[in-house]
Amino acid sequence: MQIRWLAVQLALWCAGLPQVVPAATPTTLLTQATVLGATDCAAVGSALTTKTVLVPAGKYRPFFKNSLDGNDGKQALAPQIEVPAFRLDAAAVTRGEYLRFVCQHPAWRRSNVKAIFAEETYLTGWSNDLDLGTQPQDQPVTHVSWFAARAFCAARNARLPTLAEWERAGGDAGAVAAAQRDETSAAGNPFRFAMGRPATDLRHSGLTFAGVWEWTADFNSVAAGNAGGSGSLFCGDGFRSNDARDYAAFLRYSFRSSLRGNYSLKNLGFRCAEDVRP
Amino acid sequence: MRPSLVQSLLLLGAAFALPANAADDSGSPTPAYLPHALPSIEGEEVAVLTAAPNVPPPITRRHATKVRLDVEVREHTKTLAEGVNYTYWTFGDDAPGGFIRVREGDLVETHFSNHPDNSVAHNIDFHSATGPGGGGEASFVAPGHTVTFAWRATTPGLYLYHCVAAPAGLHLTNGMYGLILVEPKEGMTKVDKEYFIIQGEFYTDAPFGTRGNRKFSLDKALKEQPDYVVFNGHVGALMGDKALRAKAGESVRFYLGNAGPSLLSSFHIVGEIFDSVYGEGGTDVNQRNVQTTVVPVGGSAIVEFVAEVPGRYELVDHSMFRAFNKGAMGALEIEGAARSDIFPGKLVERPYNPGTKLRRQVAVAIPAVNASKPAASSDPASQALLEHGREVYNNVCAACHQPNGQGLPGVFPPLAQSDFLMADPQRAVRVLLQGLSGPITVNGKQFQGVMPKLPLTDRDIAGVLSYVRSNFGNRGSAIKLADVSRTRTALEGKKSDQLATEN
Repeated sequence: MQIRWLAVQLALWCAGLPQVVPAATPTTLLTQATVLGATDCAAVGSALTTKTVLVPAGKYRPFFKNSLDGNDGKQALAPQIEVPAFRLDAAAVTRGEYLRFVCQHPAWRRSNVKAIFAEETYLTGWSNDLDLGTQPQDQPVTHVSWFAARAFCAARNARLPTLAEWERAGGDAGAVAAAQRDETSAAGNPFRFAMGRPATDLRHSGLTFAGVWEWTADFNSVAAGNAGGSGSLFCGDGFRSNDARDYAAFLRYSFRSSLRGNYSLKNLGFRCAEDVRP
Repeated sequence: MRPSLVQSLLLLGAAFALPANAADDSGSPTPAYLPHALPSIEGEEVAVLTAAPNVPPPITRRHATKVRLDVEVREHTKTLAEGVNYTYWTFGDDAPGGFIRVREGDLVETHFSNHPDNSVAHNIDFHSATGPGGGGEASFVAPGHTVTFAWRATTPGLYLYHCVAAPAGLHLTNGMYGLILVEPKEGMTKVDKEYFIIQGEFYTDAPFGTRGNRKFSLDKALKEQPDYVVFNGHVGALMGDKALRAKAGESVRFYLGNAGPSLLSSFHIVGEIFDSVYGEGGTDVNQRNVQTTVVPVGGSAIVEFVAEVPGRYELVDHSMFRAFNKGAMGALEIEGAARSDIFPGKLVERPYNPGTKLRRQVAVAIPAVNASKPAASSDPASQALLEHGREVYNNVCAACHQPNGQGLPGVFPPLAQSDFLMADPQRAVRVLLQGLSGPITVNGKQFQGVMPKLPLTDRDIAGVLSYVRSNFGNRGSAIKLADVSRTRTALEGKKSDQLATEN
C-alpha cells in the first residue's frame, strides 16, 4: 500500500496537480475525488502549474479552399497563412483543473450554469457541483460547452486556440498514414488518430493528445458545407479540400460543423492558448 | 352526385391547403410530368423495422399517414468474419440497418439519434426523399444529440438510405446503409416470401480472413480494392443455418440493395431464373426471365421467382472472385418434394476414354477406414488447433465444400464421411499443400474438378484437417503440425531436386 501511495503522489506531481494531504489511512486515497469534491474549495488550492508548449511561428494551410473556384478544381490549394508564435497547453484541461475552476467561479457550477451557455449534459458524470464522482481527475474534462471552455481559459488569463492555431499544432496531415502503423489506435476508438497528433516540428515538444475532440475559438468559422450555410460536410466537399485523402481532417471538420456553442459532449474537451509577447 | 355544402367547403379547403390536389380533378389533358399529388395525412403510426434478412409485412391501409421512424446510430465492434473484428458504424444494432416499409404519400417523421458514446457526427440520406441531401443536412447531428426531421414519400420504389457525413465513403463502408420500400398506392403484388439483401464492402489493413481487430485501410479504399465484399454486413450472414428458406411452390421476392461504395453487383442465384425484375428498384417489371441482374452502387433492384426444385442454391455476386474469395455469397434452401419433371438430375455416369475401346468398368470398393484413435484429444493445445481449424474451414473451405461438409453433388466432393479424405491422411496434407486436379472417386461418385493450391500455413493445414477429420460424421485422428511441416519440406525438396536435374 505504501508503494501505491507513492505512485499516486508521483502521478499527481507529474500532472502538476496539488498534492492531497494524506488522510489517516491509505485506503481513503482511493476516494480522493470524493475528498476533493466534498470540499471546502480551500483544500483544492488555487495555484496553477499548467504546462504549456511554445508553438513557433509557422505556416498553416487551411483545409478548405475559400474561393468558389475550388468547387470546380481550378484552384489547386488554399494559400498558406502565417500563424504567429503562441503557447498552447501541452495537454487537454483535466477534470481536476476544471474542478478548481468551478470552485473559484460558482457561476460555472452545474447547478448554476445558464442553459444558453451549457446544455443539460454539462458535466455529466459529476456527483454534484464539486464532486467528480468516480471519474479520475487527471483525465481530460469533457461534457463542457464552448462558453464554459472559453470562461475557463479567460480565468487563467488565456484563451481558446483559434482553428488555425489548433490545426497548426495538432492537425498533422500525415495522421492517417501514421495511424495505419500505430497499433495502439486499434484498441478502443479506431478514429482516435483524427482527434489530434502533433505537427512534425512539435513531435518532441511534450504536446500530447488523449483521444478527445477539442474546442477551438472559431470552431464554426469554416463554411465547411454548402453555400446554404448548414455547416455540414458532404460528398462534394472532397473537391473543396486541399487533400481529399486526409480523412482525419474530414472527420475533424465534420465533427466541428455539427456543434453549437452550448453543446456539452462526452468526447469533447479543450485546452487553452496564450499569446506570446514579442 | 351533387356535393353537399359541407363537402364543397371541405374540397375548397383542401384545394387551398394542398393546391397539388386540384390538378387531379381538373380534367385537363395529362401533361408529361405531373407534380406529385400529395394525399392528405390521416392518423399516425410507428414504423416497424426488421433486421436483415427479414422484411416487414405488406402495408394494408388505403390512405397516407404520418409514420414515426426512430433510428439510432451506434459505433461498436462486430464480427466481420470468423475471428475478424471491425468497428462498425450502424443504424440500429447492426449492419445493414433495418428494412423500412412505408406507403406512397406517407409523411415520415424521422427521429435520428447519435449515441453519446459515438466519436463522430453522422446523418442519414434517404434516396426516397425529395429535398436537399435527402435529409442529409437536416439530420446532421453531433454525438449525444438527436434531431427530428420529416420528409414526404412522394415516389414509390425501393431505395437505399445511408449516412453521407464527410468522408461519406468511410461512413458507407463502415456499415451505415439500409433499404426503404415506398409501396405504391395500389400495393405490391402478393408473394409468399420476402427477404432483403444488401451488398457492402470492407477495406481492412490485412488480407481477407486475417484474425484480430482490423482497421480501415484508406489505401485500399482509394484503390477501390476491398478485402471483403459481403451480403448483409458480414461474411456468412446468409450461410449455414442463416441461409434463406422457401418451400417448393412458393413465390419469392428479394429486395436487393448495393451500398458499395465501389463495386457494381451482378446478382445471380446459381440454378434459378428470375421470373420478374424491377430494374434498379423502380415500380415497373421491366424484364422477365433474367439470369443475373445488376444492382448499381447506391441503388437497388427487386427480383421475383417461384421456388420449384428443392435443394440448396448459392446466391452470388457473379464477379466470381468476390464470391469465392471475399465473401459475396449466400444460400437459399428450397424444401419440398423432388421435381423430376423439371430437373431429372444425374441419370448415369461412366468412364470416358476418347479414342480407346471402353473396357468394362471395374468397381473398386474402397475399404472403410475404422478410426482407431480417439477423434480428438482434449488437451488445450489440440483444442486450440481444432478451433483454429474451424475458422480456417469457415473462411476458406466452406464456400465450396459447404458449411456442413456435404459438398455440392457433381461439383465439389463431400468431406463429410468421405472415404477419400479419411483413407490417407498424408494424401490430404499433400492436396492442401499442392492442390489437386484430375478425376477422383469419393464415396463411389466421381469428381473431375480442380482444387487450387491455397496459401495456407502449416498450422492452418494441421488445424483444418484435424477439424474436418473429427467433424461432419468423421472420426479420425488429428494431423500433427510436425507431419505437415515434414511433408512440405519433402515436397519442396523434391521440387528443388527436379529443378537441379532439369538444370
